[in-house]
Amino acid sequence: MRTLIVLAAAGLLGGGATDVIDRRISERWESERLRPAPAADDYEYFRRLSLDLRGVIPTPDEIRAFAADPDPAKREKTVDAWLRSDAFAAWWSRRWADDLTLYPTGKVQVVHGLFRDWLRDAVRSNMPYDRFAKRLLTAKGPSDLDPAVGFLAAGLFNSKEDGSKDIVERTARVFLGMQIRCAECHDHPFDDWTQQDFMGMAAFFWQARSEVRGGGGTESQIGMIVDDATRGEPGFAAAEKAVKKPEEPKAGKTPGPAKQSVGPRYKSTGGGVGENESRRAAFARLLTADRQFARAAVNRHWGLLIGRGLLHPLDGFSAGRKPSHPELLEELSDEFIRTGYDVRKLLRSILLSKPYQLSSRRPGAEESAARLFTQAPVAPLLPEQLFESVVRATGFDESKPNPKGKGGPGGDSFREAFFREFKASVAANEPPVPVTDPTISQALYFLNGELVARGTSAAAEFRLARLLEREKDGAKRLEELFLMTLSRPPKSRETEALLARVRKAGDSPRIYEDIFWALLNSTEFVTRH
Amino acid sequence: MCELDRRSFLRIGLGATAAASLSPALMAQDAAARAKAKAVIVLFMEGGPSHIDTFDPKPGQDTNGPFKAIDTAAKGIQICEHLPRIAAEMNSLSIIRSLTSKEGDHGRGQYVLHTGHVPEAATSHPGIGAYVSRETGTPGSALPNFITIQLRGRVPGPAFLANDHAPYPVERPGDPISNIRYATGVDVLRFNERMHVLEDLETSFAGEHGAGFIQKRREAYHKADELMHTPQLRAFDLKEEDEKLRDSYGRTPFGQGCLLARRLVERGVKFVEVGLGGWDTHGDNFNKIRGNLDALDPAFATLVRDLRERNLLKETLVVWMGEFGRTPRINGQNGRDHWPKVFSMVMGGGGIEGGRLVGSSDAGGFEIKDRPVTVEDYASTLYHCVGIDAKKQTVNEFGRPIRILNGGAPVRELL
Repeated sequence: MRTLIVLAAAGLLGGGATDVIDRRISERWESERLRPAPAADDYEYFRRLSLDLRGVIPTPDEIRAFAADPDPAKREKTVDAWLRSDAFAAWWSRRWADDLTLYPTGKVQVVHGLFRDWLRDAVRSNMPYDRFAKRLLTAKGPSDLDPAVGFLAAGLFNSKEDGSKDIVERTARVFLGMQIRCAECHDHPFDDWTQQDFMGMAAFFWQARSEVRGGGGTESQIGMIVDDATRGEPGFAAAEKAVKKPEEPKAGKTPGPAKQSVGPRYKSTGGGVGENESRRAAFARLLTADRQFARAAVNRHWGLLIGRGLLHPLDGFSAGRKPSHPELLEELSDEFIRTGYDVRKLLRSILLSKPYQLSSRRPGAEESAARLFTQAPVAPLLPEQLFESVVRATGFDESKPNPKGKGGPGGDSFREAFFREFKASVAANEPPVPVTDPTISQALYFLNGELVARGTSAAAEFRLARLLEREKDGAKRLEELFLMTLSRPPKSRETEALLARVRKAGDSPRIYEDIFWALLNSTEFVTRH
Repeated sequence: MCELDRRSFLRIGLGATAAASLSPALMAQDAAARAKAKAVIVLFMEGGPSHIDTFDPKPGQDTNGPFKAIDTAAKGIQICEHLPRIAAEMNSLSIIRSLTSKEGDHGRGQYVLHTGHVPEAATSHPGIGAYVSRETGTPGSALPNFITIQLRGRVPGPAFLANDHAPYPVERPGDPISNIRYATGVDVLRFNERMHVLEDLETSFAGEHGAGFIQKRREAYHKADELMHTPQLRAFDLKEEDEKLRDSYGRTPFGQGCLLARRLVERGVKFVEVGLGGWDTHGDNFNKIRGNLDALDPAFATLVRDLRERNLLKETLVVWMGEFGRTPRINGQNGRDHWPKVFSMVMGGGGIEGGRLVGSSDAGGFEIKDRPVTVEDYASTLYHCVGIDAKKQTVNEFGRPIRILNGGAPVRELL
């Protein structure tokens, strides 16, 4: 008993979970005779960490300081500092907002702004994960006093009839890692979810409605949740396949399958609503007590950082599917519960683990590598990461009026125009879809567009002019351009080839513009690797 | 020499694009053989136009408002008095007066009309235009197969289909398309020089990381480069058109957008959508939509006539719609609110018989009186006309099977 407590205390110090990860992941490499990629060097690790935790590439000064720091614990130091930074709170809550956003159109947009602020504060204060889920699911509003209501308010407002189903579907996806929508219309073909199970879950939210307080005007468009017991229970007509029982040969016409109505019942444990307990409070209690809640949380955070879940995809948990490393998933879940659902600790243990710290450099092994984490993946930056990184690399003042903007005086900003371009394939009420490959118009945006063209200009007011002024040595200029964009110094081979071009062009500012332009257009710049 | 090198770098992407597009094209051959429409033009009225104030007038009813109904060239069909030129083309067009949907929110309504699917939290459905691009598009064509004009963001994209089938957005008809020209201070020589520098970086990255991700980018960059330099870009130069014809379409962004749509389908573009906003008139409905009707009437009418005179109408499906209708009852602000229960759609060309009415709303325009037509029925009709088997199943990014449509049947009365 005493040793257990001591071990647990050791785990709390942070090395514990990381050691578990490293041991379990290495075991598999050995048993499958896989050779992992080499460890990421400081430049590779620093850029990846910055993109993952702050949503933007690091600055040349930050990179130089990190590379020069002789402290062997500098990675731990950086992880700890950044996990506590405002930049992390802003970026991480942004990713949460994507997952918790249901149809952010019209009136719900107001609620949504307050909701996003609440998410940011929740991340900043490292709100325990179980409490986070409970707050989201039991919030009553109004949203100016209780902004956590944004999730329910949006889901229940715009899609009146299906709102509770949307909420349950999204909750299961995000907090249980399960896709259960199929079971709305028929028993799940590949899983043990029945229609009855789905409706039993939806019944917890069935009586909740989202309302707008007041009578018109922006101020009053504030969501609140009203529970209305008179709404009864969800009913469903069982799909034909499910009703093969021979109890129907009554006289006359065969009646359609009877509509069944279902009260609240939590699928995996069968739990229901307690005495003096609201339906939503009961659901939140049952959800957070479900072992799958911790499992899905671990898998989700693992997936967001490593690029692929222990179970893939992140919402792919189902009866017939096994994670790649079942013991590891269980052990990390134990640890997560034991730390009181401490998200920061969980993230830290992953960020300092071997698989996270592998290099992405190793051609040809991508497919087999992904499943057992022998190599860091190459993935396109999300639109926000890309925009912020272009701005950081170029020092472009994005508040300047955009001559090609849309709309009123001055048009829309560069930022708005960029998001329009890079999210054009996502409608406002669709779940956000990460762009996997660029569209033609996105390619044109980088090839010829104003933001990249001006950002790389050597005209007096831009950053390149200052660099050329300050630094006269060609190789040093190139090194700075590489740090500004690719977050690493150029290899000697690259320096030589580019210096040859610089000489050929008579060291004109133009050739530096061209190189800067090419760096921003490169796959290395637009990906996280 | 520079030119050759650069092009050979960019061409790497081409083989894969062409190969990937072949198999669906072959599979679609059967349905395609029956197809009448080679292209689709959708005129989308963003905000939701009132059915009563456009194609389903209710003369003599309280719900009608100040606009009168006029006869059209098609016997027994009346439409709003402010659409006289469309009225003259009515023998080429048919009206569905019993379209119905459950979605009264702009975002959701537009999603349904653009995909044929109700929005689901878990799934993104490709837009109809993306499917038409994928199933019928010409592989390797320099112009994108799916182009939207003055519509952005609201059009569902390719979802899990390749980004090749993303809607290509044109913001202002008549202007050169965005970012198609070299940046200031860049000419063809310098562009090539830049591409050389880029090529070195790409080759080096691919050498260390594998070519998997770079391949997709190369394809997009190749297509972008091709689009920049294709003679087909002339399609966007409306100055090539006769001034009188341009006048006839109306010198509005929407009118010129319709003209551009014709020029695009002439050059093989498969799906063009032109937007006209400003229909969300919760107050002062009748004054506010006058301008819209005045822009719509010459543009739509001239498009139909122009296509017909060029012998293109029979192979070009033209659709007019919005995301829903508006309340028959006129509210306290003299406006109309959202009304998805029953609204109107106009179709013509591309295998659709003209001069017909399908279904009807009741006396006041509140409910369907007969022959409900669902959005799925509309989408089925469209897919039927262009020769796509809507039961076809695709697998989405998570390996889940998704049908082009889950139900619905073509509106036989129009075929």
